[in-house]
Amino acid sequence: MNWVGLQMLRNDRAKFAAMIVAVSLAVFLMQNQAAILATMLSMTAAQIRDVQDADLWVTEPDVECFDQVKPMRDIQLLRVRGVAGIAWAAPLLKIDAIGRSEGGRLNTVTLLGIDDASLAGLPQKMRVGRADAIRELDTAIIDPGGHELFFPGEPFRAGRSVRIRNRRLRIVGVSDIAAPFTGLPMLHTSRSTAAAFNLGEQHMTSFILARSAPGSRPEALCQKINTLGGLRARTTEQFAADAMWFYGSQGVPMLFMVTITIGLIVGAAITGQTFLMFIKENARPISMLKVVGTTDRQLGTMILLQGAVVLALGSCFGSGIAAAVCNVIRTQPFLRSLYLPWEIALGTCFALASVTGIALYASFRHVRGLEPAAVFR
Amino acid sequence: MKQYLLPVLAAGAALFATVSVVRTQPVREVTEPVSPPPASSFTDTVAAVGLIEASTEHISVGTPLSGVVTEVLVTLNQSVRAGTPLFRLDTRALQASLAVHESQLTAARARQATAQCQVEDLNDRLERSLKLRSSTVISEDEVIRTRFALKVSQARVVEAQAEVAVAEASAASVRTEIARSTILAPMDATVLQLKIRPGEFAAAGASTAPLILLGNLSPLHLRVDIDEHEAWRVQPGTRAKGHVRGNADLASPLSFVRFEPFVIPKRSLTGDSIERVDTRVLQAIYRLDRTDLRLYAGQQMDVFIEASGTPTASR
Amino acid sequence: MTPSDSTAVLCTGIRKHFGEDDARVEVLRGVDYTVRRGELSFLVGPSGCGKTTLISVIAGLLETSSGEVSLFGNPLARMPHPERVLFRRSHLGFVFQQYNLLQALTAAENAAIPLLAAGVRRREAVDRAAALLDRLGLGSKTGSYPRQLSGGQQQRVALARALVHEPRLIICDEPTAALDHATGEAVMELLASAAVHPDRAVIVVTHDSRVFHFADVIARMDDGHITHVEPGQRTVANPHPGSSRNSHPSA
Repeated sequence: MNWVGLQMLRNDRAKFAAMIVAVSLAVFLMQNQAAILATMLSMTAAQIRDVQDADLWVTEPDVECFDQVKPMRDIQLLRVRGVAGIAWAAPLLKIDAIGRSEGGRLNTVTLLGIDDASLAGLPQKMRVGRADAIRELDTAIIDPGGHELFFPGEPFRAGRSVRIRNRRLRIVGVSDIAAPFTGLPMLHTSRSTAAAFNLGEQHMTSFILARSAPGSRPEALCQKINTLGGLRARTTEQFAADAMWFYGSQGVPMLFMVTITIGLIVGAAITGQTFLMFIKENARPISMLKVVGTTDRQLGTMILLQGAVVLALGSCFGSGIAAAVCNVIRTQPFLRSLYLPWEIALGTCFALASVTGIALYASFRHVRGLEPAAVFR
Repeated sequence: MKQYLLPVLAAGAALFATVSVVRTQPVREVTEPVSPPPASSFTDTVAAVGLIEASTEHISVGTPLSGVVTEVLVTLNQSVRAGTPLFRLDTRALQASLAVHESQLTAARARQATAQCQVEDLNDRLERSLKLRSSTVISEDEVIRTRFALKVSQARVVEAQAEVAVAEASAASVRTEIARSTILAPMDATVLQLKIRPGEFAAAGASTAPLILLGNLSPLHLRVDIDEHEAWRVQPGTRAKGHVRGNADLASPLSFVRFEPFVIPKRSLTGDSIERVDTRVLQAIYRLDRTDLRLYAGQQMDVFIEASGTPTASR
Repeated sequence: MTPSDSTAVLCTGIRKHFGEDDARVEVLRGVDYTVRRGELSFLVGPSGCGKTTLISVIAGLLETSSGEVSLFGNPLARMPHPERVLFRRSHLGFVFQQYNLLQALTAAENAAIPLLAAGVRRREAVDRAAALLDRLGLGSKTGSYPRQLSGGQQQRVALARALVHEPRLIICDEPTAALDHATGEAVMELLASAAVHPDRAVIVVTHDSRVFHFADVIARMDDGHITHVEPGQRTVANPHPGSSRNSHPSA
């Protein structure tokens, strides 16, 4: 009987196509917007997650995200090192400065000073060059977006330089870190080199990166460090979540949520309405099926299957379109981090299915209420 | 076949979407730093930073006299014995003054000799006068005058002797100054810094930049700054380990030497001209037990000291 | 009138009304109607006389206001709804005026619907339907879609659909009304030869007097009553013994 239902659906090409297109577009719109929103939020935590060798971040107590720099006292590093269960701890310095390229392009840049001794927090993925080349004095590696800002349209290569506060910083590589939320060029350099640009403030440590020793739980270590007083320790994921929440609670994501909701409602409305129309137009054949002894249960399964097929096909096509568009957008250096969390990819499809499910239920109610005797008239 | 076109296309789209989504998921794998920072080998640890220094501490050699350096007699890293000349200042002015004083000495001596001769002459005359007094060739009066003249010339001899002594003392004083223009090593040590070169002016008095830095490098000592909040956890004589910066695998066991009894404000060694006062620190001196590491005075090390007790909320 | 083993359909005192009070319309006003096994019974009468309502009641599609319907000894009105649907699925076949074929399915697939509804596997169901279509003279059209078939062919497919699961009662609602005379004749010819079986009853609702000669029994209906039952003229087409036109009760 299910097969009969599918044949009926296939036979009504116009509505079948309309429903698939509606589902596709709704899924595409929702996934696209969700991808942008997720990417934007993840960008606010990108620099935190990009530090792959540490699993703990220790900051001043009121720091909520990576862009809030609160100078830390050097002695704090030693206090963290002294906590039992900490494998190691290293400082990270973050400074904003104004950089000028050889071509005279001026940009505010974010300088990240990596601990000279250990190079903890160094980018792991590079597009050009080796990351540990920053051990040399007055060298830095730049992120792809920064390269684009300073040397627009030029292919990535090492060997250029950026002047900051009248000192020449030689670019020895291009990193492959996630794009930052601020869009500012990210320059990784050694902490000693970065400190030389840090004229206004005298601090040397913005964050303390730490790694839990094998066998100790990062969360428990955070607790331990927090009781020391004057420090706030978080796991990488906690800190990333805090950063995302910090930016996420500032309203912009609401706009995206509105668009996503509109996509959901419009998609479900068109699909549901078309489906209901399809069922109503087939009232006579369905009555005939009821007369010849098709049970309500069989009809319900049939409708569910028809809906499932429409939703599945539409979701597949919509996801495909969204993925294709996403891939095109990713070729831009500033948007290189665009991604769709797989949970959201599935979630959008299921959300649409759930809302469309209302229409399927309405269709079933309609079918159940059909008077089979009507077929004799 | 036509009926399978749509599902196949949809499956293709889904596959493409799946591959794209999976491929673009941000991956975060945990990696190791290029050279991992040092890790403590004790269960309860006080972490600190230490500065390598000579076991004698560092001796800034100064000069008692200001002057231009004419000669530097040692080289960097040279071991010197106590009393070895280090450098000499220009002494030409002193030599000239010595010549003057020596001439004056000669003149004084001459004057002393003249006075002596006069005394002898008068003595002689007085003796003859006394012999002739019975005769009336020489009056009594004349004898008395001669006697007084002798006394005067005797006094002149004493005066001349004093002048000679003064002249000798002056010359000796200048000679001492000349000797002081050669600066000597105060003890057996190694030249750690040499900031003076012939022709440069060396000013007397305390200076922030030492002319020559001396210190005994075997054994090396480590001056460890311990945060005042953690100081209570450190016991004298507990185990400690110092890690070389840049390669945490290179480490030396440390032997406790002493605490500096006075707690001082910590300076963060940034190399910055204005160094910020951070907190107060207890300084502990440890001896570096490994001698095969290439370590230098003035270098920083990451230190872990075995502690007792765990830190509690301090603020 | 006593029900016996040979009784297929037994309706006693059926009343059916629609609406209430001022809008109340009495459609059936106490219908007694019997169809025997092996009988081809025509139910004839003017439009609005209640023929359609009566067959809806017999098929269990409408509830009676009062009265009893018994199919092969089963009291249909007292059956719970799901059971009634299953009874209809296995024991009843239908032919409609408008054929009611699914445009999405081929002739064989359309004819196989009752089997599919009963859960027979698709391949087997379609094969059986195709074989039946072949017997009904549509062997070359099994793969055609309804829009590719003439009205007579469509009605023959519908006939196959009514026969494919070998029901014990076939109800035909104006099977020839949409067809021209010759075609209608052919369809009735087929119905009479293929459907009639000693163990099966066939009810044909029609007002097409041109085909009355196929009837074993003709029950005339008017204004909610069976007014007259008379024997039909079918003699040649009924080769089976045991279905005698003498034993019909008269109104």
